[in-house]
Amino acid sequence: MYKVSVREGEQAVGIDSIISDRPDDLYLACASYEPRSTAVTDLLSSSYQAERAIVYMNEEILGSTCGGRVDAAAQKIAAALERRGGKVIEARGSWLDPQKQFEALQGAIIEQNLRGAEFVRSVSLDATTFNREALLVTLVLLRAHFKRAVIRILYVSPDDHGDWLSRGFRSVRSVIGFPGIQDPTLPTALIVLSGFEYDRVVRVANEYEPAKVFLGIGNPATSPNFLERNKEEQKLFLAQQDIESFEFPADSIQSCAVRLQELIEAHAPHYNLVLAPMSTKLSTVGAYLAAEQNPQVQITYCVPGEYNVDNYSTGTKDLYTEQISYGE
Amino acid sequence: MTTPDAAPEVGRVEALNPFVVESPEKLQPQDIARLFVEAYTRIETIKQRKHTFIWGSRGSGKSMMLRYLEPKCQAIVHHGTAEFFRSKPPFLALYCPCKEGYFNKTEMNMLEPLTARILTEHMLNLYVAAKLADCLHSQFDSGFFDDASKKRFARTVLSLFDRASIASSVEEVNEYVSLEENSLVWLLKLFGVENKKINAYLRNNVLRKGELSYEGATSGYHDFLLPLMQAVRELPHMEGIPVYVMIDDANRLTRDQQTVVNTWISNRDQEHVCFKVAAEFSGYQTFRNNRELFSTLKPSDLDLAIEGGGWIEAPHDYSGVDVDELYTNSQSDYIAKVKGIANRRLEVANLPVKDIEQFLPPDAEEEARLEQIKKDTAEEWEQRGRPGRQKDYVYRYATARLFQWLRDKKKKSYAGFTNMVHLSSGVLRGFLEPCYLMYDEYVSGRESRHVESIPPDVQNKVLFRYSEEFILADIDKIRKELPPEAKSSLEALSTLLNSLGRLFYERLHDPDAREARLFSFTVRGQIPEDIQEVLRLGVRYRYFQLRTYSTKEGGGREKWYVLNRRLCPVFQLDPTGFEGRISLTPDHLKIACTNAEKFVRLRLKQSPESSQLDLFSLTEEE
Repeated sequence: MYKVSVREGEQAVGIDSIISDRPDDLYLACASYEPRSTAVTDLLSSSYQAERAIVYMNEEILGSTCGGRVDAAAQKIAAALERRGGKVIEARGSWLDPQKQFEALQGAIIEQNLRGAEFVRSVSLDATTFNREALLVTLVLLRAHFKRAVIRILYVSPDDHGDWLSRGFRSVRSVIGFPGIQDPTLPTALIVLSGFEYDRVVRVANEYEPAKVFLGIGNPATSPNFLERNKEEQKLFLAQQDIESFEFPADSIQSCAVRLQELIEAHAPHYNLVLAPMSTKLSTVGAYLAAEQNPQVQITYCVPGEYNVDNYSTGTKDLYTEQISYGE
Repeated sequence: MTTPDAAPEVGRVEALNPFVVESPEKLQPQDIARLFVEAYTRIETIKQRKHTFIWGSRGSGKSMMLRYLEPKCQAIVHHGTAEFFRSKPPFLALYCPCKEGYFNKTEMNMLEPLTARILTEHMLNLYVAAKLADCLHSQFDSGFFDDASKKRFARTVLSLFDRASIASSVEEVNEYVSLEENSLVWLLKLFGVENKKINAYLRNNVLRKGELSYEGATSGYHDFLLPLMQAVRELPHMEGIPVYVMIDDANRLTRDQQTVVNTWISNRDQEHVCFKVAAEFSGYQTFRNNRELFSTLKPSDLDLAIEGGGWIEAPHDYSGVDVDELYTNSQSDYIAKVKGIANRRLEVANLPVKDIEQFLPPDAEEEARLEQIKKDTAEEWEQRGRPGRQKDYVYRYATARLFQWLRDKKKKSYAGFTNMVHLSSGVLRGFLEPCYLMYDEYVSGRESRHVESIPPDVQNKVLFRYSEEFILADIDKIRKELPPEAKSSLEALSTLLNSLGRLFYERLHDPDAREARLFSFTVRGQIPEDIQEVLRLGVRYRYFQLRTYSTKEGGGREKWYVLNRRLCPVFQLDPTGFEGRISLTPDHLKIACTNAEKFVRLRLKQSPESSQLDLFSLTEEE
């Protein structure tokens, strides 16, 4: 894991391609209402090149009051990649309709894979403003289509978050690609990587009615303030019975995956495990790696009623870079 | 996660708060056998060799009842497993809860329809089969079925699959377990491997854009599930005994999966297998009638869709049991049921008092006042020329007079067992939760948890808080839950509840009101869609109970919305078993949803007492 403050990043040369002197085969980003949506693209070095790029968007967000901002972000990302020689396509998915979300990403990845999967070696994925479900699905698709590629995750943390991130509840659903394998003789345990959304954690727990909850607190967080807020938000939930807390590194993909692997190994013989990543995008990728290794684990996603599109986050703090490899 | 206390381990129930509301899945058979009270549960209907749908709200006791029928619990009840199977009617009950994420996987929605239908039935079959193997393995003493019988059973089950399709799974299982040495565990592993194949297929198929064919084994009802159940009869002690497949929380199944279950039922193989399906009424999606129509019918009248376009009908194909109906149909039976359960809990907790009526005493001063008012009202009946029966007259006016007497003096007390049963509005959890809270509040800081009663002031404090939470904190919680497009309906619902609460308060506290004890409303005329949505929301979150009544003009049944009695303390209304209703026009209802003050003013001005009230229907007419 490599971390640098965005300010330092701006002063430095910038982000270059994964393999030196060779353009990345694919660059993926999600255009969103958050100011940091274009932060990674802004940090690309002038010599950075990508053969192809996909800019993902959620159509509900595009159609909402902040649609203009999202569209502007999409255009900015697309222009930056086109300047760097990439063929850019847009993928319009949906955070309400999981099938549409999946098919939009799948269609874009297949369309961009013109040379054939075996030639794809390097993919840069800007995870910053993907919604978690779309991020997980993207990783599954990349894994399925580009088995030999190195995936570089790029993530920019915000200076701060708004008073609330999301509100309301629509449904919970298993994330496509992570159905899990349930043993009818075992009870259910829920592993939550928690963030600032207390209500969403409660809803997932209410829907699954697990016999046990393992509630993860992100430590280290991407900011010390976030750790305190995370603890404060989850205090009420932790006070309930049948809940055991644990800590996970919210600022590192691999370390988070290792921590989750330990938990899964310890509890998989006794429970059907459901994993709910609700913390940073880095830890969400960590959850992806752990679930990929343990197909019996189901990943769940709680669909909120609405996002705080006007004040989800402010500023840009640190740039995180970490590579994952499928090793085939 | 609603439980306020830990999962009791075996034998620990007595050490906990006696009113703990615990998920039945977490309870041990000993605890279930001790805590469950059969009276007034309609368990005899469920025990019958018939397919049964058990409708009921969350917390109404459905799961507890189903788990009570499992072999281990029944062995405790009948003092031995063999004794249970010799009793009438004997059955082998498999508890099959539909947990979130088991069946309703997102990938299922992306399958081509025929594949989806085949796989969904195969998944359900494997689940039931695994539950059966697990039941035979873990619910009976190891010697109950001899090894040779178990081996025969496992071989019979294996023969139900296509030999070629199951071969690779058999090979995989044989690496870990031997059919010869551990037949039932071998079967469990086999079903597990097959389940793994389905999930791998679900994932791989979406990644290949739906181009993959499923190459594992499949199973249907006639070629697998039915012969599987018939094979059980070959086991020792099981001759002639049907298997009851108890599918709990069936509202969590997808529409297609519910259709599969309905289709199993349509086969009428009760001789071998009966399906006992428990669900929240509003979550079952396969009714013939649309939502608007079925809300005016009783659950037991409903037809359910099966594959191929047919229907199953009650009582021809199945029996319907509506757990929530008991309070509506017979309040005395519901009171007796709650009393039985509460007394059992006091007994198990080993408290010095075993009678819940003593444990939850009413306010003595208020009781005495009510007795006096009853005498006065009886005299008033004489003075007014004996209108109708004296008992009806006293019943109609005495409690209202108590509320009127208390007005401006002190808050009405809701303490006492009977009041609390009414406040629960027919849902057992609605009684146990406040009991839990008041017990906890009273014993905290005391040296002993062995208390003889909860004083009325402690009861009252908790009941007011519990009521206030329902109208304030719970509305806030719902507000957080709802998507933005539904929020205006919630605001309207909140205003509507205030409108009704205030109107009913004014009527109850008006000494001149001929019909003071109003608690419900009907709507005369076409309700606009936005107001319908408000009412639906009210029913969904249990602020209203939706019932129906026969119109006087004939020609069908109309909807009747009864307030949840948990609201009584906060609005100072009478919870005791009376449901006088007002009839509202859609225009009035609209005002009630937007402006409580205007609505109350308008209604009070518009409702001259005297001749317009109907003594028998207890309805205030427009």
